[in-house]
Amino acid sequence: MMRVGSNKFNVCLLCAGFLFVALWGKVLAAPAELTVSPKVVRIGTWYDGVKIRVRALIPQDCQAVLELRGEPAQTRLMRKEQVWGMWKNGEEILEQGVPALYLAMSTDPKLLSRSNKKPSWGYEAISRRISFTGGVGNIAHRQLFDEFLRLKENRGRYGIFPGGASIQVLPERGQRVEGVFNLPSRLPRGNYHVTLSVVKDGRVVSKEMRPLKVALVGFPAAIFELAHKHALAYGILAAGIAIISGFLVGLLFQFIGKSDSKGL
Amino acid sequence: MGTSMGPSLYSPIAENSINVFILLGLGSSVGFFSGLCGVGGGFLMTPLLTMIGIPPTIAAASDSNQIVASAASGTYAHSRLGGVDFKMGLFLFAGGMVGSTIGVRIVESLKAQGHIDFIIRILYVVLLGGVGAYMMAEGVSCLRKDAVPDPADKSLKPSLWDRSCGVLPWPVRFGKSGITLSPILPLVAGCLVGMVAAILGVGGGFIMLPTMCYVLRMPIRVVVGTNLFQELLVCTNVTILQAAENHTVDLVLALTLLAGSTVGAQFGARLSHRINADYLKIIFASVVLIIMVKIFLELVIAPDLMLTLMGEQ
Repeated sequence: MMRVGSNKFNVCLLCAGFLFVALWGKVLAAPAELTVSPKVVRIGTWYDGVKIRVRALIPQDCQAVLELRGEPAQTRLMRKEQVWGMWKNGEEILEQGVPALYLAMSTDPKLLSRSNKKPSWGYEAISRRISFTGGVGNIAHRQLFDEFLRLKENRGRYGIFPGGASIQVLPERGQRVEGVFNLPSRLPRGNYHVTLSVVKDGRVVSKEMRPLKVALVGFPAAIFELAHKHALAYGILAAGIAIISGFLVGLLFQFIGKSDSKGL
Repeated sequence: MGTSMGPSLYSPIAENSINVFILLGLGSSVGFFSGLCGVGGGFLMTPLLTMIGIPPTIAAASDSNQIVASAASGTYAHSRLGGVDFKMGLFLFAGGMVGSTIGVRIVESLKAQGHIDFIIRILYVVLLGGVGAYMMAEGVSCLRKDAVPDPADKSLKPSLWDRSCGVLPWPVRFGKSGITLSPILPLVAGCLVGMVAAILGVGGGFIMLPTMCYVLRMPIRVVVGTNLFQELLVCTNVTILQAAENHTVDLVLALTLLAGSTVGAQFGARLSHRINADYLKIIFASVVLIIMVKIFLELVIAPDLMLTLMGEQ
């Protein structure tokens, strides 16, 4: 009887152990919910930048990093140099390996700080991926990278916001993370994606990704299409519209002038 | 991102959005100046558009498109007042076509060496500085003397230049200008101005105006309208070529600018016939010198950003 009881106890212990490990594992690897709004950025006539709202549900005691990035692209750069006291563009520098647009924010400011030496995100991660070729000369990689960041930030295409995402504990449902990315008005069309990294004790425990598309629509799309597919017709149309507009305004002012002189 | 001061328009070729009021303001101001002084305003508008975030190549090409409208509007206004010498304009345009083709080849060669922007800036400083200083000095000097010498005034004793021009063959009567001149002169002048204009990426009015006054000896009353007429022809050609070959003409940008510039040009043209020619010279010279100083400062002051994107330089 004792043996049977002991076996039952062992089985129960084993089951409890399995259950604990399974539940703990579920907590660690719980797929965080991630929603991005809007899912498609439509660049129409009145487009002037857009706010991308990101919401996520993450487990308790975790922090989050939100990233919005574009496709990796090559960028042709020129660096200023001084000749005879005047500033001119030097040789061409080719940059590659990093996204055309990169915005990141975190719930905990430390996660995106530059003191974080081995991050999977942020400028430190980008500095490891970027390469500069061409007219680099003997300029240090770090100096060139800092100048590259200044240029990108100036154009609104790169930005790091430590602590920029809000976090709120929900009773029995983990934590809600919210962040807003401001996309610049000077935004290239193409495919982007938003990534959520859930971090616990400095380790990434799960990652979620959502696509974001940027497309031209309406009048700008029609103009872009015409300008690239029927370039000569577009040029003649542009010149024709300008000539007609100019003469019409001329006629209008002639009419106004006559009305004025009659009035006098 | 545009400001919250008003609606912004997205320009699909420049891939940027710009405040509508800023564009209309720029268009009408430059159009007013264009009608007043008889220049297309490219040397003004292109740097201004660049300052609000339009890449220079797109700014220059779209500006050519809007100059077509303001030049058409200005030509119409001046022609009603008898201020356009169409025959002279056609000769200048013919020369300008040859010159601009040569200029484009020079640009390609300089581009290959990688120094195009530097050379363009220095050319701008030298040309704008020379033209601006000369016109300012002359305008002020004429005002002080309280006399308005017309370059085509026949009562003055002919200079060495006038006598040299008289030797040239095939003299043609330009009735509207009231001068008889060999067509070689406007063809060569048009060619040289077209060449410099192509290198600088502008319509060339700020060089053509002094050339008409001091080289061709045209009276100032037809100089403004005739220059607008030849700019209308040159910029129509440039717009079509830029759109067909480089895809750099932004119709949205150009339409918004021309909405302001055509109206501004009318007011400018009206004022130009009421204002003393010497004041006109001083106004023109002041604007030219301001632009020259701005470009010079950009050359010597350390830039905020050491890197630029290719195509934005």
